[in-house]
Amino acid sequence: MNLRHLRNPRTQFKAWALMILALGLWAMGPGDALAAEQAADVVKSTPYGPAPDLKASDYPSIASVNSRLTVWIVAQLHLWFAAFVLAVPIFVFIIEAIGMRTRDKRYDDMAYEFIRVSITAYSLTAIMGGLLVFCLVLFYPDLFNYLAVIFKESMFYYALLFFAESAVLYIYYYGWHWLQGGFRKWVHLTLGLVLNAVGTTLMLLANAWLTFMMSPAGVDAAGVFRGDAWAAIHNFLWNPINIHRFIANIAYGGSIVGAFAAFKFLTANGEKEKAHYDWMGYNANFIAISALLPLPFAGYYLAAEIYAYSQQMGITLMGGIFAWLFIIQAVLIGTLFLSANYYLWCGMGRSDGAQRYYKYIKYIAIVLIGSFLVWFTPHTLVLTNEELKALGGPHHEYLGPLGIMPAKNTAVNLMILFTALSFMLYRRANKIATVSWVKAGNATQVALFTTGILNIFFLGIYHGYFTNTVYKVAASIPQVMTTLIVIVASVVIDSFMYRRAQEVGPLRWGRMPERSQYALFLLAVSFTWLMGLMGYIRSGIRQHWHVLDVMRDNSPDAFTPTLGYAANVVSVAAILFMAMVIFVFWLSQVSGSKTLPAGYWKE
Amino acid sequence: MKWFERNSYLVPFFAVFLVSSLVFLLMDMAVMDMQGLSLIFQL
Repeated sequence: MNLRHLRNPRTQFKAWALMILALGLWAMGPGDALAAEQAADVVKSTPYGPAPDLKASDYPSIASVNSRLTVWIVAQLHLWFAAFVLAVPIFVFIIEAIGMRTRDKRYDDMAYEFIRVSITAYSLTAIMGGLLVFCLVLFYPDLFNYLAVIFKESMFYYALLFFAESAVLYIYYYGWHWLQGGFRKWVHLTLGLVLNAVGTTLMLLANAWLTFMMSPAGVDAAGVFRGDAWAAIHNFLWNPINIHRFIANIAYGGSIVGAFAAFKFLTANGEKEKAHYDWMGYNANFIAISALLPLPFAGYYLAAEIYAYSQQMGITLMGGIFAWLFIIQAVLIGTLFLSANYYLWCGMGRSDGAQRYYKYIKYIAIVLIGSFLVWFTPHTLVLTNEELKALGGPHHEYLGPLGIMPAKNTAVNLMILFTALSFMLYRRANKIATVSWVKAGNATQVALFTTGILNIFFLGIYHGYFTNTVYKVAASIPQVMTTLIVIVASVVIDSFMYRRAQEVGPLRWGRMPERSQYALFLLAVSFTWLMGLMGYIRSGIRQHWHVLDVMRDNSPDAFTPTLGYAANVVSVAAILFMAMVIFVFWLSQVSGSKTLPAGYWKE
Repeated sequence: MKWFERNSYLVPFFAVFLVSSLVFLLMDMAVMDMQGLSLIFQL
């Protein structure tokens, strides 16, 4: 055998290459097969399948009912009632605690009356919830099946928790007068705490299902569930929604009981009843405003997190089709602030000492209205081609810059600051400070407000118009901090300044013009409308997905409707809800009345 | 007397104005820094 050719470098190279290739193939071959076998085992072993790929014919059609519209309205009605019945126990608990602390029975009576209103609403919440489940099962069976497989444990415990919620609520309400005094009152208060814990848990569980549809977790790209229920619950948007809904529920609940108080005020018999419901309305408005102040920040945080999760959803939300709905939102929230402030200004008339502060109201009103105008100024206008040519572009030359977020953040921070100022003036109206440092105290507060406002403007204008987007968004945080610092510092200074203050006179509860009660109605209606609108937006940014990027919505109704259509649906739903709320108020009215039919009963 | 009365308002006003301006400025710088940015725009 002649092996001289093996001394040739080219031959040697080819030999080495072949050997390495052979070795590589040998190493990969069995390993590759092993990995494939293991993967097949994993696939075989998971009990969960991918998200179903549906066709239009997979969606049941029942009696020509529009499935999307039905689920939309029923879900929204359920959510309005749910927000109310979850919120009421929160502030009832606090009011009951205040009553226990101050031993002022008025607080206890008011807390009882609030929970009495929510009992009827609780039944309606359950009815709407049951109807919603029926509608989901009937109209979207595959989607509901998919979600039920993933969330089977949380849905099961959700159903069980209603036993706890109902039991605690009924004992809490029906046992109110039984569990009075000493240790029993502490037991009752604890029941209130348990009621809140159960209610909040219910909300957190339900929030997980809808946020999963927006930011799915615990599933792979095909929608196969990995088996970790906590991962699916604890998805990206879960906590932002939890925070926003918790605060919003309190504000909303306050506005609904405020409307109840206004209704009772207007139908009151006698001055004493009028005074009682006037006081109730004031407390309800206070609850609504207190929760309303931090709410825009919770909403902004939610929007920022939606954007962080999916730029597409974020842009659709505020830069795309839904941007104009946020102009409607601005109109509604501005209305909320104006009506809440108007109610406070009317309320100042309860005190004879309020005359001193009336002169400041017009300046607060000017700031509120100016901020309101800036807030609802749009950026990109809806124009015909001729209008576009005449304007020279889609934005107004002078007002266009007011349409971007920095202007709106500045406006909302000012509205919050001046609402807090209205409240402080209201509190001062019936007091004469007796401390020696009143002037210095006032000067401090004025200086704080001045520097705070200047800082808010600096952050809004400089970072809003002379920097890039990253700075624009980042500057909203110190703006919020400024507002919070000014409010907290001013309230603290006020509390020290008015220690042992002289009362101008007893507050004349009931001395309120009737138009002030319509401000409370406006609060409730605006809140309802606003919630409906925001709920539609949150749901609609998913567009053609049941579960974003995982399960496609191929139903016949899978399209984004026109803004006008959506606004009409929300309005009709709001009217339906208000009709049901009036029914609840009427029930509370009839439950307190007695008819004595002469000669009807046997002697 | 009027001077004193005016000063009992203006002196605390300007003092708090200066102090709170500084506080807000420091707060702005700190919060922007926490987000990885400076107060004054830098590309």
